[in-house]
Amino acid sequence: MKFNICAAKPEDCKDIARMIMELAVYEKMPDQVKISYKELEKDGFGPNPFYQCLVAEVPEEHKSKDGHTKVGYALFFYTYSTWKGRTVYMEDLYVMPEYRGKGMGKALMATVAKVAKEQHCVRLQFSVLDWNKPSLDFYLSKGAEDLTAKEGWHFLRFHGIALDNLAQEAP
Amino acid sequence: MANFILRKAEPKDVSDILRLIKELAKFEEMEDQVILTEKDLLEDGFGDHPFYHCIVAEVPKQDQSVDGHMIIGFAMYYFTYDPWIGKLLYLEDFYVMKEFRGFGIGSEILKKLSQTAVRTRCSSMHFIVAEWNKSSIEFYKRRGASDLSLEEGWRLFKIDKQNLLKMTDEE
Repeated sequence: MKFNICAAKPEDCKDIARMIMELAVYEKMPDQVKISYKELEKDGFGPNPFYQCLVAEVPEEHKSKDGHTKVGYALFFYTYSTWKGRTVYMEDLYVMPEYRGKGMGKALMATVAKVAKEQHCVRLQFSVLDWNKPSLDFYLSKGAEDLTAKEGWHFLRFHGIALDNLAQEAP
Repeated sequence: MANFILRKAEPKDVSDILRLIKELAKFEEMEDQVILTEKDLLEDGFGDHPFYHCIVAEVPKQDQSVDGHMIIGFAMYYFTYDPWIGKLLYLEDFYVMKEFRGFGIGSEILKKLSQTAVRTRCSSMHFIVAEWNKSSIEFYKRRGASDLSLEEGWRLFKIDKQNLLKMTDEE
């Protein structure tokens, strides 16, 4: 099946928001999605973009049963490793179930890798849920290493009230 | 001794920042993994497109370290994006020299970072910690941090330059 990978435009944000929700449902956390396409537009296409996004598009004759031609996306941004320097963090990678197995996931990730290479980034990082075997298998086949297993890294966060409390903490 | 200031890092600080990065890497038992140079830090932090932001902790000359240093702590951070909740502050490195611990410097740095996060309308402050680093994990949990790797099963992955290039060649 023919498809195209290109940089997302502001008008793609509704489709991206739709697919973000589909991915959140798959990851069993749909109630955690708090932002809409409006925030995506503001945060990705303003004077100071907080992320970059690629979209996988199919021609009209291959549109989804719900009528969509934007059928996959990769959302990423630049980060910094004090050991290695510039890195890319791939926050989301998703292809709609009916379009899997056609090379779109691989093409999206390869395009992120291409951008990383152009920006002299030395590494691509991302996170995967421990039960997500199809994704784990896909990434491991591309040479990914599980740093949580290998080096014991855990993700922590200060969120919501915990963040507010920390900001107000007396010295 | 509790006389210290926190300020934004300046280009002249890169030598001290690299010294502290290496000290922290040594503590994390990964000193040989630091390939970053002062030139990289200068270009990547103080050029046209900063990849990171940095705060340093400075003591007066009379309180300098046994090795004669006045920059005795730092925190490096940048902004990332969560498609579910929007902008985040990501804390990449956070370190206070051993002889200056126990004076509240670490707590002040964390407070300043969380204030920055709230001021820039970030929903959350994220970071990673090695699971064997019990003292750091306790420090963060005491202040309200949650461990997303334990609670939700997130695992950190990387794909290094060699495999990234392989992916771009395959397309």
